[in-house]
Amino acid sequence: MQNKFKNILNKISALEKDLAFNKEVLGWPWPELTVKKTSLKKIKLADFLAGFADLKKLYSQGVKIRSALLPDYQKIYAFLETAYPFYSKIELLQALNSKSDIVIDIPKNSQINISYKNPVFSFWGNVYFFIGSGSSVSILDRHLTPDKFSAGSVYLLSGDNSQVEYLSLAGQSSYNFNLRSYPGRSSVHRLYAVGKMPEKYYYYNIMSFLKNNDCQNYILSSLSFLNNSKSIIKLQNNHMAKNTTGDIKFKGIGWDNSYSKVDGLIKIYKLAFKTDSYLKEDIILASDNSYSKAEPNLEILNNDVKASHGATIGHMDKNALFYLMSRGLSKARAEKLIADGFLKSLSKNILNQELKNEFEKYWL
Amino acid sequence: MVKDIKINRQKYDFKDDIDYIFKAKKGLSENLLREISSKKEEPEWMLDYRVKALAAFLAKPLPPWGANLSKIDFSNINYYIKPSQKSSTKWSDVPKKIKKTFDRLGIPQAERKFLAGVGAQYESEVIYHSLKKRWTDLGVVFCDMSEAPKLYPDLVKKYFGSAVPFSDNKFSALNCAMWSGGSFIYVPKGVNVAMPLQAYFRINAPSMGQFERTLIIVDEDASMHYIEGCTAPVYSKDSLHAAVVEVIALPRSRVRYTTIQNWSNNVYNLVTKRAIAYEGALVEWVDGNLGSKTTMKYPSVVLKGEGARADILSVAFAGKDQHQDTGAKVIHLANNTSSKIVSKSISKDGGRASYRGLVSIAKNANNCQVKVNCDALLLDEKSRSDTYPTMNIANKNSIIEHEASVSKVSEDQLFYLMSRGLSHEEAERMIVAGFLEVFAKELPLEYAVELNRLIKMEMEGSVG
Repeated sequence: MQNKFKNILNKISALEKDLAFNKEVLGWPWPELTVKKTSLKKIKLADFLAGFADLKKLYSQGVKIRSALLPDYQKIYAFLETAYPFYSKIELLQALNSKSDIVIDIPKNSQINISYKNPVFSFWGNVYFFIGSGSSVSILDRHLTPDKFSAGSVYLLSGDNSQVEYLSLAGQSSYNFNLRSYPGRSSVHRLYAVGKMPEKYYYYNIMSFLKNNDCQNYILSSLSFLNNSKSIIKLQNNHMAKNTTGDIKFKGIGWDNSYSKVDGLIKIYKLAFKTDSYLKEDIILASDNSYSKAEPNLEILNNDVKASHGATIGHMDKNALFYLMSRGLSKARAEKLIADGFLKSLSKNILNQELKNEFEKYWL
Repeated sequence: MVKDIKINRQKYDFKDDIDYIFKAKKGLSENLLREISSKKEEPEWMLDYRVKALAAFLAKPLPPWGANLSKIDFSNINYYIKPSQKSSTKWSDVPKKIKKTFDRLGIPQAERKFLAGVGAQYESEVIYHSLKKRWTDLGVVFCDMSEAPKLYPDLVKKYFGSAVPFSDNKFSALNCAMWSGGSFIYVPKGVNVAMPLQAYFRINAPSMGQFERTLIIVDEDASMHYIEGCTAPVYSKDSLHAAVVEVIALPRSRVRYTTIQNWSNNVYNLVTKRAIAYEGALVEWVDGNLGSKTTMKYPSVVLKGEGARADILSVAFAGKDQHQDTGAKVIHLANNTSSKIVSKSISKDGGRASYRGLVSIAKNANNCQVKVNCDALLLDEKSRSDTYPTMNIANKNSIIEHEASVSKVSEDQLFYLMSRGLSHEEAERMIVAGFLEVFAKELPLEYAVELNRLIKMEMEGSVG
């Protein structure tokens, strides 16, 4: 199975060796990861298919769900060659050791709604969406993370002129989720992620590579950090081609003793002219012991750009809290109402009604 | 068009042929350090401090982030050059050739006109300092830092290294080991020094390392404004300037520290500047970075007392082969503290300007307010601009805002100005000047004029 990365395997392995594993920042204990890494199994296709409610309809629309074959890896290399230098150690580990690669083929010029429960995280697996040109797709991805130290990636690779909307609902246990977006020429990808983080460690990495001209990528994420959780959230748009547009909007609330680190990055490459990008991080600290670190970074290598970013970290609106409590709500209830409203507010940017409903329902 | 915008350093780019009193061999060693210390007749504790710092310097790695410093050859630097016998308080006592240098830079004229006091450092030593009688009578101290451990042992021992310990970073360690020259300022309780004090730093020799050390103590309810300027001639060999500045703002004092750095672009400018602000104190850093090959400088304020405030204004201009990695740090440790950071950068001709900032709020610091604003202007497609703000927040009752934008010169504005009859160059110059106006406003008039002239010259070059 190692030959799946045959062209760049050496490079990736070398990078994996060189990279330091920053366990201070990310609490994954290295020995346990090593054990997990060597005991990974291959996911059964049937187990993956069990997560779909209306398989028949998808099949009738021409969607194919299968294990990855050698020709698929050709496509994946092409993408990985762009992407792997950006990976962190834990992502490289997942990419290198995974034995589970599922491909979902979406035909050209189709209109597809997919909703499924995603079990690949226990296998450190990858789900590749190969989206045909001219298609319009909405994907609802419910993460299943029963084990400790689970990790998994979802790849959205689209052809020209396609429209993709993807919403992930976070799993319960500690896990690492990597979402990679690679829009084709003139394609638009919209990535949404919502989650409540109650367990120990969460590492969310959402990254796009705008390597085709005129493409767009939007990232919206609302997360709620609970208990003693430690979360690292990376949101990154890499503008590598002309006329690309990207927005990142993040909202987060820190409760209890939670720790969160939100790294945003907009990177504009030398020849990526006429780009338009925006990065916004809003974080509320709702408890005395929560801690947040926000880094909205910009790296801009040419001048024909429009790039801006903003970040705020603050407390809950005291007037709103007072108003709600004067109407008879308990403090906890009022806080929850304000928090949910804050996190839910990103949904107005979602186009697909079904995903919008799911997004809003999550914060009720 | 755009290439006409550049900084003109001709005024500063002249070299002097000086017979130095003492020139240490290149390279760093404990013997050299002991020699410097004994030449300066320092107390024992200072020598110990230097020795410890040297060990820390050797042990610490170069910072893995920020600008590329791997080309600095620490073994090929003159760590100590003494240009004259002693620091003088009379301009007429300064050696002729050095005097000529500073005359060309306009130092004594500036003093006569609008300053309360002036210090001038040439290579490793302060060669001249003076303070007007009006201020000495009130107990204000403004002297060569090298003299201070002898003259004011209690103050120096109490505060030296209290804001920037030698273990802070590799270059603060280097400075603590090799420091020489710089200013020592003490403003007694309630004294308001209405006119600015100024220090001027000049590197003349090639491959020179200048490690000045400045300690400013402003006592309760007092206030002062300190200005420093830096220049050097161009050589093919790189020089290193690693200063440490410590400002102690005692309760309810006000301190403003203004820097206009215009080093030639063979100078690595790696400076650690930090202020500690006690109850109700206000610390302002006004930081202009126009020159140098590489600058890494993040003026910081530790807001230690309740109600303390910090105001930081940082401007960077990155031209050809320049990397300005500048920014600001504010650490809120007490309740009701507030800070404001404004950063402006301009990159052109392939220059790179980075804003790197840190705002940190401790868990017990309630009701803090922070506002950070960074704007960057990119004048051509070869140039680069980065923003790396970090916000560490552990308190829920505080409000932090950060905003940044990066843009090129707006076509609309250009079109408007040109339609009013301005040439393309004039219009662009006007837009850049407007972009920097907030900075120019903060400078004393004479400096604002000088800055405008500099920018205009830079932009002019050939614009005429």
